[in-house]
Amino acid sequence: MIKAENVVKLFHSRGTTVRAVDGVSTEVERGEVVVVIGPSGSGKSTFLRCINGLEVFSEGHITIDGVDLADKKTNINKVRMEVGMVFQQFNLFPHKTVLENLTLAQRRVRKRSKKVAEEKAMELLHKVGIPEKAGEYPSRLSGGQQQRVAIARALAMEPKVMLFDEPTSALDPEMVGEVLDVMKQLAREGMTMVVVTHEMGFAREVADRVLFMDEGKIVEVGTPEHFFTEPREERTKLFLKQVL
Amino acid sequence: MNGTEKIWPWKILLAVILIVMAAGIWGSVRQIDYKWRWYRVPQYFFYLAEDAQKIPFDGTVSKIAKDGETAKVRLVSESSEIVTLVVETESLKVSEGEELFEDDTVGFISEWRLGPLMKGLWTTLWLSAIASVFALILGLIAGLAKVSKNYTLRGLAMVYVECIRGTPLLVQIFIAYFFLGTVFDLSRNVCGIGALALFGGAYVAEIFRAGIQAIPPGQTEAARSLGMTMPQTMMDIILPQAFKKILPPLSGQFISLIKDSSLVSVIAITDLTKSGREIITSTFATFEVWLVVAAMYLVVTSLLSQVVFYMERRLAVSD
Ligand SMILES: Nc1ncnc2c1ncn2[C@@H]1O[C@H](COP(=O)(O)OP(=O)(O)OP(=O)(O)O)[C@@H](O)[C@H]1O
Ligand SMILES: [Mg+2]
Repeated sequence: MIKAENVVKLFHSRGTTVRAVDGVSTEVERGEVVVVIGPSGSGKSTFLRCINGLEVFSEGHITIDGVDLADKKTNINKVRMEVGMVFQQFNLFPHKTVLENLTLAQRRVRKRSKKVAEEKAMELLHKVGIPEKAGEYPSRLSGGQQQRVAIARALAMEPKVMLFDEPTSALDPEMVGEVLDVMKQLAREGMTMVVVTHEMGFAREVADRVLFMDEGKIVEVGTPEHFFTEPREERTKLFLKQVL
Repeated sequence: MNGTEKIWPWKILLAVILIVMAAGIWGSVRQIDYKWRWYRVPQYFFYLAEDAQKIPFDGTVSKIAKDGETAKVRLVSESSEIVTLVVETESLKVSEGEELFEDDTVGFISEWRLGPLMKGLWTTLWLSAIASVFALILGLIAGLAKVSKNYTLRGLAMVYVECIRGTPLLVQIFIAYFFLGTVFDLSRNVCGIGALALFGGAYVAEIFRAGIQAIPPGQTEAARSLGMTMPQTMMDIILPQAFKKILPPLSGQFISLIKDSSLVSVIAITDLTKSGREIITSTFATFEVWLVVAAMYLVVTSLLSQVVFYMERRLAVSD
């Protein structure tokens, strides 16, 4: 489903060059749930953002469902329709109601009628458990509710892959559960997911595979069991000791 | 300030200061022996015009039909041409059977007309309105160019904004009229509106740029990650939010534009300011007219501020 080959992302700022992603290769199968962990600044977000073209990578190839992102002829907006993304800061559109947040891209990008888009939106709001908030503006919702709306907004485009960048890091602890529950349900339904998170419980429960990144590289790959029982690399052990 | 502090002593102080200042001005004016003629001012807002109705040929009054306020006067020429004039009964100058020569006055018709101050105000308003619309469009385009990724677009916008903001509007109006107007054969109204629009546009561009950049990048990323194109993202996500943020500085800019429009009077456009000057040349009521003109600008700008205030409140529903 997703295939990354030797992806490098350089940032040039004030005369220095940062290798945010430094030769990452991995493959994500259809229906697979991959959790990416790693210390701050290790390039997890940058790699994730390369997958839906929010960052243009400097070297290497990423193909999504056979479409090569590095190819100049690729229409990035077509790719993004198939790749949903959920952000740490939710990034809901504050000037639109919850319902409008969910219908806007369906109508503009998928060219759905208002009626069809709204039906889809309500179905997804039921799924994430807040249909009663359809008419509210995002600022009236709790963090957990906002993030669930953001997930529903991405799902409304019926993507083949969902990317999550620390979806629970900005939430009060009591709201983390409700968001993780929605994500677990998605995983059970067979959604292909790449999740950057520090929630080890989530990783253990739903991840098929865990990637540990440090300094722009994938340091260690394995099942959750592998990570919790017999991590190989010293850096992995050190990191896990801090987060567990 | 804490809530329990009393505000009325400060209100009284404010009133006292204003009264003292007014009294000071009043006193100074009395010393220079200026003759106030306020009674002359109203006619420059509205006046009663008396139009003489004249017979267009040599002939006789064949019939006068009085109908209350007005009277219909039927005139017959020597070659049996018939013309009927309507005049006010009181102003009737002829009687039935009277013989008249061409251009003799039969009577008058009076009618309320807009005086020069009102006409000037109207000119100022439509001039400013058109210039504002163009300034908004220009400013939006230049503002978008300023935040664009394309170097050439950014450069063009920068040159435009810097040139306009670095030169006085008065000089720009002169250039628009005496240089561009001559070269491209433009009317003075086009030059005046054009100069005002270009001037306002440069400031509006900066306002738009700041407004767009004040929207968190996460908004663009969220929209783009849903597959929306950059133009769609601008139209649906960025500009509506930016517009709400920039409404106060934007309205301030348009209020400035109304005031700045007084400068077009230098290229002989009869706006409110020019009307004021023309009235003064014929009446010498200098103080009264300038005070009235200032008050008229003040009324217009205050009304506009009020409108914006209500718009802001309505747009605040999603906060
Ligand atoms: N837009 C940018 N310009 C310059 N440098 C950047 C930019 N974005 C990220 N970086 C740098 O790239 C490196 C990787 O950043 P990234 O955000 O991908 O890390 P991360 O693993 O997601 O960290 P965190 O856990 O803090 O979110 C960091 O050194 C960061 O400073
Ligand atoms: Mg990150």
